[in-house]
Amino acid sequence: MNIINKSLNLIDDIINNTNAQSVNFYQNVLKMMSSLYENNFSISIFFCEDSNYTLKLGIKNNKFITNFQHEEIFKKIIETKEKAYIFKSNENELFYKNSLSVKLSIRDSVFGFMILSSKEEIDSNIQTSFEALVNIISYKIKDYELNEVFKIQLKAMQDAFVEKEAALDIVKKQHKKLQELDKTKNLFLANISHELRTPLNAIIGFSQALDSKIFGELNEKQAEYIKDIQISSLHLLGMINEILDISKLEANAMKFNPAELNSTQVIKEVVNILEPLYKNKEIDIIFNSNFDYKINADYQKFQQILYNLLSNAIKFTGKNGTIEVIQEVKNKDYILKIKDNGVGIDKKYHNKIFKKFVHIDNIYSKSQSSTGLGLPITKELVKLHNGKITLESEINKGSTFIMEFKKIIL
Amino acid sequence: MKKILIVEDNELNMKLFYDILQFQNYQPIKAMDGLEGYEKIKSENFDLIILDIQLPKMTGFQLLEKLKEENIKLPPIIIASACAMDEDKRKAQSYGINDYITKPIDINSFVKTIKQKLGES
Repeated sequence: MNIINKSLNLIDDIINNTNAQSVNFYQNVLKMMSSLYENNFSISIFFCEDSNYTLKLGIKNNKFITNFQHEEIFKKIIETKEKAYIFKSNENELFYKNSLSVKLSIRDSVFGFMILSSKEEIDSNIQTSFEALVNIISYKIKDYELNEVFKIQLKAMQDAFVEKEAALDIVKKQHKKLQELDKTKNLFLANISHELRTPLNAIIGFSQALDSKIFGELNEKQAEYIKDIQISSLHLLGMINEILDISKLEANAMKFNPAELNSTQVIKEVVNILEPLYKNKEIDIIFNSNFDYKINADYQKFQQILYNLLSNAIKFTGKNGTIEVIQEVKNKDYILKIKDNGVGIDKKYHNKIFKKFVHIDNIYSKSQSSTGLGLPITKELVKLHNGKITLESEINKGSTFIMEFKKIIL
Repeated sequence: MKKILIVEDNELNMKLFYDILQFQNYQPIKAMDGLEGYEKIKSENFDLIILDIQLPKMTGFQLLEKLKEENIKLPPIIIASACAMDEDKRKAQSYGINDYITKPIDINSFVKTIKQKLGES
């Protein structure tokens, strides 16, 4: 049958040349069907909604129609369970005397039907051919639809990919910018430190010169004030050093130069430096001066660890308190404890205190300004020595900072 | 009386170093920038030089480089700088200078280092 081949060719044309949305595609199919009108045969196509099989698009008398309410025959075609349905009708614009309807479907999912109408009897050969045609067209249409869906999905994926690439690009740029900013920040901090040290040199130097009475005796008040100036300047210097240290640590610019040193000797030195502070509060600092082990440590940094922890201990210990520096050796590991009987630290702060900029309010710290960097720096310095620092503390009973340095005993 | 050159641009710090050295019975000589320091080192003999790093006209390191190029024999040098970065300390070592004092200085250890360098302790 010529008309069957013709309709196959037509649907191929439509599928190959339609790249618009699916409504357009269905309209093209319908339009195509309107041309399949020969003397003895006509083929028409109807699409319906999936679930309740109400017709959505059709063609009748060369015109698109969407209102099928009065077409009794369509109802019957849709409602019958059979795939093919033969009916007779009075000849009109759409149908000749004998008609065969075959549902457009993939498996059990029906999405429309096609009608072959003929002036003559439709024999079984024609019926088989037409059913084959409808089958092929069903697949072609669904294939086309799936293709469209696939294309949309593919495009969405491509778009997402492009977006991700762009996002990655932005992240890379931001990362670079942040690195530059970080560099600027560290440089800025180093410069600030330099600028602050220069006037501090004069303040500390002149007050030391007066304190050492090289230019003459001072009266009681003058001597007291000079001591006050010195204590404040040292406090300021400590904070400047902390800012410089944290910027060095964060920039990984902290150099680690370990060498053989006597830990007890360093403790003695630091205790000497801190003498004005703990004597002022009548605090005792106890350590075993006979402990005689050599350790492999960076002199300056080891000194700083002791300075930070001891000055903290002094700060948070009341008048007449006691601070102990305990040294132990455990298979080549060196253990150092700084123990005080001061205010102690609430358990809820134990994890926090090694983080940057954390202050714990208590009666002692309220009057003391600090950068909140001392313990984080100490932790990093201990880490540089392959060690770790922990805290044991109970409120009002005191604190013990315990450091374990792996294999640094020589 | 031993002659000590102080190369330092900050007036107050200069005054502090000058007074300390004078009190210790040395003869301090002032140079307020790197260039002045360079010219004084070339024209006079000193027993010791106290050198800052960040200086106008010629930095401490530029001064050292220039004197090295010209093969000028130098007395002991103590660097007194407010720059606390390790890099500068290493750079100083490359000129054979191991005495690097970070400002703010401690007067006692400052005097101790000077006496050591002059072979007096």
